[in-house]
Amino acid sequence: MLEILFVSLIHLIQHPETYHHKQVRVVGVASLKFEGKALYVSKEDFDHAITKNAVWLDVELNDNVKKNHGKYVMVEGVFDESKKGHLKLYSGSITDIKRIEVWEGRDKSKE
Amino acid sequence: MSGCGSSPSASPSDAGVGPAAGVAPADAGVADASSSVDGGSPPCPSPKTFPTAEEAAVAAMKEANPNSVRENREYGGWVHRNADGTFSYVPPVRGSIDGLDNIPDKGPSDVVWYHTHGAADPHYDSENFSGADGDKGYSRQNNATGYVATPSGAIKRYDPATDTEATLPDTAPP
Repeated sequence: MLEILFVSLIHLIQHPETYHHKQVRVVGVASLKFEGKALYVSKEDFDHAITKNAVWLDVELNDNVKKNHGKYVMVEGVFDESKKGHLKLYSGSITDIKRIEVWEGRDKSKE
Repeated sequence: MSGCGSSPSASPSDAGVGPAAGVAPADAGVADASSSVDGGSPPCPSPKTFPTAEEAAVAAMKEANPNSVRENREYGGWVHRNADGTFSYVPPVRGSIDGLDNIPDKGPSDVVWYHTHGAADPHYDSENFSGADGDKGYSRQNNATGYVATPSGAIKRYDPATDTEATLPDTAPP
């Protein structure tokens, strides 16, 4: 069975060669709009468009995908360090995306 | 301007090296977009020269936008200053449906960049520049004015120094 590496997006960006062409599962903040399809390390990076703290998401935009814009999501796909996204602004790409799902945070009401 | 024409398939004809030098009107026929490349070394610059960088960018987009809309692919590239003070553009590279990940890096004589937005799509805001995480961010990072030709044929300019946009009177019909 193909191994899927569940890794930190920070580690992925810091060590792209380690994950090049590997199946990965990462969590981050999704930007899903025209020329801005990416997964950011944090909400701060998303809000300030720090694109080097993000990877491009090679996914077709449709209503089902776009509904996740601005949310923390889990993405599963193949990392490619050589593809830098629109205008080479990003730190690699995730291609062959199999899953994009909302990542539920901790339930603060129970803490 | 960065190195050009080192692609194994590059030739004088497919690298966009056309016949005539000298000042050409902005709407003159130019090398067709099949001279674009999908990556690797950028093609050699067009020999056409223009008195301003904006005129060169407009000419490049007039050339590229019909193919861009028909194929629903983005095209783009840089305009550079020549030694004699005129401006020329390199034939555009062909990108994807909603991105241009193979645009050549800005060279020392490159001054403005241009691109097209493909065909109209209800899921895409392709009549406008993308924001800080796209077109405008790229202009800011490179301290270079950017141009876009949209699916409707509008030509827009973004100046990162003043963070302002303008729609030009000229158009790039699809």
